[in-house]
Amino acid sequence: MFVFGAGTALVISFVALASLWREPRFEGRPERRGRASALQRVLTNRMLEWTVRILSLGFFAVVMIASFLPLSPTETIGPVVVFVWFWVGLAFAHAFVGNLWATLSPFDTLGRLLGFDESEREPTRPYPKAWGTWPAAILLFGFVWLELVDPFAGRPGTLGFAIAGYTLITLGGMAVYGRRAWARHGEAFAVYLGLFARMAPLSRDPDGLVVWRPPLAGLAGLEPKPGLLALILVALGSTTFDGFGRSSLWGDWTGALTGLPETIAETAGLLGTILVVSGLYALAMSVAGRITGEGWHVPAVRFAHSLVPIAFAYVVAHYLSFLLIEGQLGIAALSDPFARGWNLFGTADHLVNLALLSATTIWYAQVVAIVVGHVSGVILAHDRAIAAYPQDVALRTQYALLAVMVVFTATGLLILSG
Amino acid sequence: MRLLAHQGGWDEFLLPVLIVALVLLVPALRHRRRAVNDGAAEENPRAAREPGTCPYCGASVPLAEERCPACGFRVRR
Repeated sequence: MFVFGAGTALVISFVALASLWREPRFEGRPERRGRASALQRVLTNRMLEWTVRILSLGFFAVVMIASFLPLSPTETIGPVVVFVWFWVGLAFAHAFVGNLWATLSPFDTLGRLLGFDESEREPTRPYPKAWGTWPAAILLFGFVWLELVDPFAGRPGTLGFAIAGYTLITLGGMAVYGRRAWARHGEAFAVYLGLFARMAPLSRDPDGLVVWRPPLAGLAGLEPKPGLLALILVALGSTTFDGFGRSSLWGDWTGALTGLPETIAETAGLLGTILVVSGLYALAMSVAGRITGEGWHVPAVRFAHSLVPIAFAYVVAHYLSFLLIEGQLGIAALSDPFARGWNLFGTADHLVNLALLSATTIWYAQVVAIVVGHVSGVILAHDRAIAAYPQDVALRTQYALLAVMVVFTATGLLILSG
Repeated sequence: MRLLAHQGGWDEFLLPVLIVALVLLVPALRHRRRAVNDGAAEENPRAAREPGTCPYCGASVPLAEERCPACGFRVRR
């Protein structure tokens, strides 16, 4: 019944958009400028910014050291902060508040402190445009592989090496290509979280002043880059695999496997899910491309931004309970980050409240997230189509995408329910 | 009524599929009728695009370049 309702909601919104949304509202929207005020002075205060940066860098060091300890994932602060607070919590925060990672990123702060900023010294090499965000897409895949396939589950402490390795790659990229260029193209989390931040109603103008904008409007300003679509599809496909990997069907297929065969099967499952999601999208775009005479790739890049709210919806649907329940483990771990019996903030005995969310509340939140995410995707794609093509062509480019979104919605809900 | 009362079956997809089919079919028929009436050729946005512009970002691409200097996409082989 929920699948039926969600699919119908999507189709109805498409029909409503076709008849009521006849002019682009997000595309070509003039950039708003902020007005100076006392609040703006606080938000743009350099001293405050650097205090936050240094605190974040210190916390990062604690998390990295804790992640090297050969203890179980619930004993130290490392895994809960990386996989729950950071990976899920920051995705939520970015979608609702804006680009916090620009200030919180320890890599960005280290890059500035080490003098890798383009304003301080010329990069060794110009960043190759043809690479686009491929480095970020590959590194993001590495992270989701580590999270979902968990190939080193039997070796606690591996997470520390992964964090150290990623830090070295990032600083190396900044050293060679410049801090800003690498943050825009190679720093996987800056690119990934930056996409969600474009959904937020808050942004900064060119002078750094905070401005309001309609939710989702920032995605219309996303610049096309090679590899950006791949990164979005990795985000979308990996979350889908996370749900599918917990289904009874996947359990029947791989339940008997252990060790290397299990790792290989799960890696194949993760790659396969990303490929299926990508294939469906490419199929829809090849239909659109036949109508516009552009082939499949140009519309695939043009409408890539419409997948971002869907990727976020999957994060909400799959990880809301993970954030609110497992995330509580971090409260106790904050007081004892290295499992040494400390109680720094008096929270070491904090117990997880399992009754925080009922199963019914979680299910309704998942349904709402999936439907709102897909309707948002339909809105963004429609807005871009009417800006890029004549009206009747614009509508026809969207039919196949709508069909794929109905399939995504139905599959997403079926995975969550089973 | 039996169809709507049923839960969890493949028939839940029937109504959305029907609506999608209608949404697909009606504008296509209208478009074909209009094209026949007007004797107009179908619009082709690709033809409307300026030659030498990047189809991805709209920047101007010099003839000698294989990739768009603005966005980095390959525009010529």
